[in-house]
Amino acid sequence: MDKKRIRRLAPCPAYDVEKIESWLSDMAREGMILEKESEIFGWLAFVKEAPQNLRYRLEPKEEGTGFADVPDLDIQELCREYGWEYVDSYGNFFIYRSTRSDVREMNTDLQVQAAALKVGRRNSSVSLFWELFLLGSIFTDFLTTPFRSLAFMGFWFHYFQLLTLIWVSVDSILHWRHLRKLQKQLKANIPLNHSKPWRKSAAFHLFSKFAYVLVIFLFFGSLFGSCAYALELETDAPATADYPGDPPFVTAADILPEGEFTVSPSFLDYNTYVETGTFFAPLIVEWNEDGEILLPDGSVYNGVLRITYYETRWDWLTEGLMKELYREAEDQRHFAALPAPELDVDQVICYNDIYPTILIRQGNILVEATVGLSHQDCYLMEQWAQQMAEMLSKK
Amino acid sequence: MPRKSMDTLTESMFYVLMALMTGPMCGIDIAAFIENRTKGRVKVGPATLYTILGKFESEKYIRETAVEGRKRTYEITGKGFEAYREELKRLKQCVIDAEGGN
Repeated sequence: MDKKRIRRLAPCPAYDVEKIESWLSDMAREGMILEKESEIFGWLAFVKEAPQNLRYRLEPKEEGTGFADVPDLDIQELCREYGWEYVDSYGNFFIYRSTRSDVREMNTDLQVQAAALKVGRRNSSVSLFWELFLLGSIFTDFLTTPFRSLAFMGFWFHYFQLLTLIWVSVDSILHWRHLRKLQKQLKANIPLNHSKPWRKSAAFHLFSKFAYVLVIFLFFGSLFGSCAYALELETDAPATADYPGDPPFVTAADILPEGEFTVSPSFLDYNTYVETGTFFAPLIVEWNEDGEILLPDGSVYNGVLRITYYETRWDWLTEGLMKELYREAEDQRHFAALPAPELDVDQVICYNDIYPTILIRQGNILVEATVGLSHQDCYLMEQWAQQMAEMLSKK
Repeated sequence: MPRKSMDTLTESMFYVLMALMTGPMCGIDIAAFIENRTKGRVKVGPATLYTILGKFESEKYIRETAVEGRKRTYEITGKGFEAYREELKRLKQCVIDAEGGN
C-alpha cells in the first residue's frame, strides 16, 4: 500500500540552518519523514511513517554547485560510512540525516565549518549584486530623464517589478547577514543549535512567502498585460479620423481651411494616433498626420504634423518634462533655436531639428508639435501655436 | 599583499596533513589514521574532512592521485609538506615557550 505523502513549505527561510534542522527533526518525531530528492520550488515532500528520532544536518554546497546538483558520490560515500545519508538539495545546502543517536557529528571543527559557510555567503553576494544591478538599471533612466521616466512609469508592472526586486534584494541581504552571523558564532567556538525553536516566527515567514508569490504572479500578469497592450498599439494603431470626439489639441484640419488639406495614404502608418495614460500622466496622445496641402496658387505640397500631448497630474512634472525634451533636442545634430511666438501660456519654446518644433506648456499640460511643411513653415507653425494657446487658455 | 588564506591550520587540518605525510590515502583512511594516532581524542567528522580536503586541494597542499570507484586518494605536495613543517615548528615552539625554555 502506498504511504501517505504530503508536501510542506519550511516555516523558516532556507538559509536558517538551525531552524530547518530543528523543524525536520520535529517532523520526524511526528512520523513525517522527509522523502529523498523531493524538493520542488521550496516545497518538501514527507512520507507518513512511525515516529522516529532522526538527526538532520544542512551542509553548504561546494563552490560551483548549482541548485539542481547533488553532492559528489565520493562525499556521499564518505558520509554514509559515518552513518549520514544524503537526502535532498535545498537552496544553497545539502540535507543529510542519520538514524543513529551515537553518530559522529558531520562537523567536528567549528573553524572549518565557518570556512565552509563562506561559499553560501558568496552565492548570496552574487545574487545580491545582480538584483541591485537590475534595480539600478530601472533607476538609471531616472538619473538622466527623471520627469519623462516618472510620466511613463505609471504602469502597474513597473510597480510590481520594483517591489519584486526590492523584495529579493532584501531577502539576499538577510541571507548574507544570517550566514555571517553563523560564521561569527562558529569562529567564536559556539556550535550551532540543531534544536533551535522555529514555531514562533513560522506564521510570519509563511505569510511573507505567500505574499511574495502573489507579488511575482501580479508582476508577470501585469507584464504580459502591458506587452499585449503595447503590441496592440503598435500593430493596430487607430486612424486619426477615428479619434472619438475632438482631440485636445489643434490638428492640421484646424489650421487649414476645408479642402486645403487632404490626408494622403502612406505606407509608413501615418495618420494614426496612440493614446495611453499612466498614473502620473493620465493622458498621453501621440498624433501623426501626413497629407497634401493645396495652396492658393493651386500648387500642392506635402506636409506632416506630429503632436505629443501630455496631461500630467502636476505642473512641476510638466515643467520638468518640457526642459528634458528641449535638452534632448539640443543634443541633436540639426538643432537650431528659433524665436518663440508671443503666446498667452506659461511657457513656450521653439527650435528647429530638421523640422520646426514648438513646445507649449500651460499648467499641467504640455504639447510638443513638429510642424513639417515644405513651404511657408513658420507661418503655419505660428498659426498652429496661436490656436493651440487659445485652446489651452479655455481649459 | 593579499592575506594568505591558509595562514592558520586548525588541529583537524594539521592532522590531515600528518596523515598524508605517511603516504597517499583516501578520506576514510585519513579519518581512521587521525583517530588511531590521537587515541580517539581527535575525531574528524565527514563534513569537516571533505571541507578540509577540498580546501587543501584548491590551495595545492594536496593533489588527487587516484579514483577507485567512489574513493579518491590524495597525496601531499611540496607546498603541503612545507605548511606541515611550519606548523610543526610553531607547535614545538609553543611547547618550549610553555615550559619556559629557549
